[in-house]
Amino acid sequence: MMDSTIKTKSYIKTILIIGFWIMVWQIGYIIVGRDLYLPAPFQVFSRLTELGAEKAFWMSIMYSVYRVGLGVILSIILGIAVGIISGMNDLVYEILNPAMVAIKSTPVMSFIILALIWFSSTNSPIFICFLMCFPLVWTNTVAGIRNVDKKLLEMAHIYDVSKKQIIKKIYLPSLKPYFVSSSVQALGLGWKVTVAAEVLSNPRHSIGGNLYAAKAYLDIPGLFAWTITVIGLSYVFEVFFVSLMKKKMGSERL
Amino acid sequence: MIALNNINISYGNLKVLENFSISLEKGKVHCIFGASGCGKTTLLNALTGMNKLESGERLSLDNKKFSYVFQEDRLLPWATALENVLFVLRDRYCDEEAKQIAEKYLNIVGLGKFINAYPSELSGGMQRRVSFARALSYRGEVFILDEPFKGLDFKLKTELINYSLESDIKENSYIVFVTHDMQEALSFADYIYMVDGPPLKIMEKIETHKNK
Repeated sequence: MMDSTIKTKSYIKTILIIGFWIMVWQIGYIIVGRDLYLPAPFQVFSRLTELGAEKAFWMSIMYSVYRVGLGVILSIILGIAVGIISGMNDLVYEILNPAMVAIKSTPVMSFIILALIWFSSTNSPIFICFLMCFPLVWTNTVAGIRNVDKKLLEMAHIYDVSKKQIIKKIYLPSLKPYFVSSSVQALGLGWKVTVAAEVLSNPRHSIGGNLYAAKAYLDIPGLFAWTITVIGLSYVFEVFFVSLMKKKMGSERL
Repeated sequence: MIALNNINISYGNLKVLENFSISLEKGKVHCIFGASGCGKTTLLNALTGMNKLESGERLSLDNKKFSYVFQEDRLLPWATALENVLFVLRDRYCDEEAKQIAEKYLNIVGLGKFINAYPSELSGGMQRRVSFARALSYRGEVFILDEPFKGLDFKLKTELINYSLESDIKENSYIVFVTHDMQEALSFADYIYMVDGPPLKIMEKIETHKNK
């Protein structure tokens, strides 16, 4: 009873916040007064409804989800594996760190242009997504490994516990909060960079390709509708991932 | 007999152990009694090999197994009481045997009903019992207790002392016990080493009535 009241209050609050921002948007539309610069919320939502009725819309979403999913999953798996090795071995860390700093500070456009030369238009966004998310996961994993409680490690060494057990029972559980945080960040970043890469590489079915087309045909409500779609997908991914982690790991120990 | 012979350990310019020697007898409780910061924990680290010696020898200590009750409990916060004890047993026993041993010692320390509780769900005294169960179940040849009763009430303290002495650990182990509390030292030890430092020095070695 108590829980359902709290949930209802929370839903009402969320709806009110969304309503507030739609109202700000509507006021902005009235002040700007030109559809080409800022379309009305109603125009955008009706365009979104139109798009939702087209098969191509769902195909584009499906392919973009595939690219983001593959890029993020690869970056998480490799970022954690390489991050654990780097966190435990200073030499590996020192070798990899300059590359990670370079990737993080290089404009994503440079990599997208290079990727267009190296890969097909379908695979470029996956590569870009992986390349941008990997340093993020790697950095968080290294931080997690370095923040492992030294006293627990000392206890394990005194009791002569094997390296395998130490990794399984001390390092991996210590990494959980870093894993969740870096994965959520990677999911958000993954959507941004994948769609950006799709805009330039323009694969057959893609959200980025549709954004590019909307810009080319000055379909500004369409541009907003696709952008809202990306925001919505990114949010749904994040919520799904966090609830999955809570279920798997137990929220109280996350 | 195990021993440290003429060992030296420094932290920067501070000499914590300087030509320090001590020998320990099997089946006896050796109490190191001294003020905080005099180098007692460094001595324990020298015994376990956690601190590298600048010079000197560790005699008959290299292949020894250590059971250690730390000042803090050092339990895995994400693991239950049972999993915490199993953590030190898994490499030595098969799963079934390790579980039986872990449950046996958790029962001995009175935590039979709390084997599936996480450390955060246990009181300070109960966490200390898990730490004792872990040390007792491991059956180390050298049993080290570093101020294990700090902050515990008399009843629990006596119970834990009895668990350590009643089990056959005493007969088969070298026991080193660090404390600030003379009453604890007198009720538990065969030998009391009054120490001061740094550098750590044995001011006096007392043989208690328990050993006479």
